[in-house]
Amino acid sequence: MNRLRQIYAISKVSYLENLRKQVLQVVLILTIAVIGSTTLLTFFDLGVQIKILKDLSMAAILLCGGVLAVVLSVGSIPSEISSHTAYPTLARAMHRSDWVLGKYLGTVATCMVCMAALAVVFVGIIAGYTHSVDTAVLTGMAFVSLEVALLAAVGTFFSLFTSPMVAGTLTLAVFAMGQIKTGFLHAAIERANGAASKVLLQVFYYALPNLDTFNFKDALVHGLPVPPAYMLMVAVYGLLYTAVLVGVSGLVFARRDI
Amino acid sequence: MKARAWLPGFFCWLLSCAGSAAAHEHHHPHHHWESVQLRGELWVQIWGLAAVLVGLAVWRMLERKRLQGES
Repeated sequence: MNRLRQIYAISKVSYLENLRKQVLQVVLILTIAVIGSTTLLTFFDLGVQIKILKDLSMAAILLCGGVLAVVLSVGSIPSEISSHTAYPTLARAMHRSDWVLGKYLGTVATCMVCMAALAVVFVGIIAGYTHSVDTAVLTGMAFVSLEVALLAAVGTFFSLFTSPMVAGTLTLAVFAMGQIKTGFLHAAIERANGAASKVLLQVFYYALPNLDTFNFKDALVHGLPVPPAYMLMVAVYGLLYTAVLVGVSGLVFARRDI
Repeated sequence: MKARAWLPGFFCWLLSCAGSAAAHEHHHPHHHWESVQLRGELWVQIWGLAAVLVGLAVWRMLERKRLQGES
């Protein structure tokens, strides 16, 4: 119980710290502008306009969450170490892995609050056109949130080894590769000549998170049915991947000499 | 000033991601939830991740026992 209270306190401070960052406000305003701009597409039929609105808004929310997850997660721990503000907290009787978990949860909470605000704008615009609330949007948003949480875990993990700039670049690379993994890497494995390069690419392929599986935008836009068992499988996959990354980050930080 | 410096970068990133997504869409017009191969790969990854998680828990438990023994 005491440990939970400590984790909650760390995450709350981290969340409040993140809210004050300028990048958060800029990205949020830009994304709201992108979502709001879809209301200007009045020269399309209403059905087409709603499809474009859903497509563009989901992509914008994912990008906003992705950018925030990368920027906030890679700077969260190194800034505390370099400014020595982490030392008084770590000197107390608390596990270092709990501190990492608290910082991670604070970052994720910030991203979730921003994405929830964007979702309200998005759902509000759709409701303004259709006079009903589309529940599929909520499902789509849940998976985008899971993807953003995973990305924040990747950023936290990299931030323990390198500088924030390098960690940010690596996390962005994982984000981009995770999106095009099935299309790009699978073809590369098939084209590989040597057995060693094939095995190496396969290891890389399975180690990278498959972020495209969290994308249910097509189902949302075109109203396609997705098997619930598949959605459950993707949710378990996302949670497991995040848990492993946060667990490894905790272990790495616990063994680090600071 | 800092916030303004982020804007061009953000838009470049937006464009590059859109380009990647469009390229991916072009190569794989089918929806991912319909792919049997992808489902198999996901299962492999889920079992692998579960094994890593269990391994981490066991390692942590052994480490704690070792530290208790030392003290």
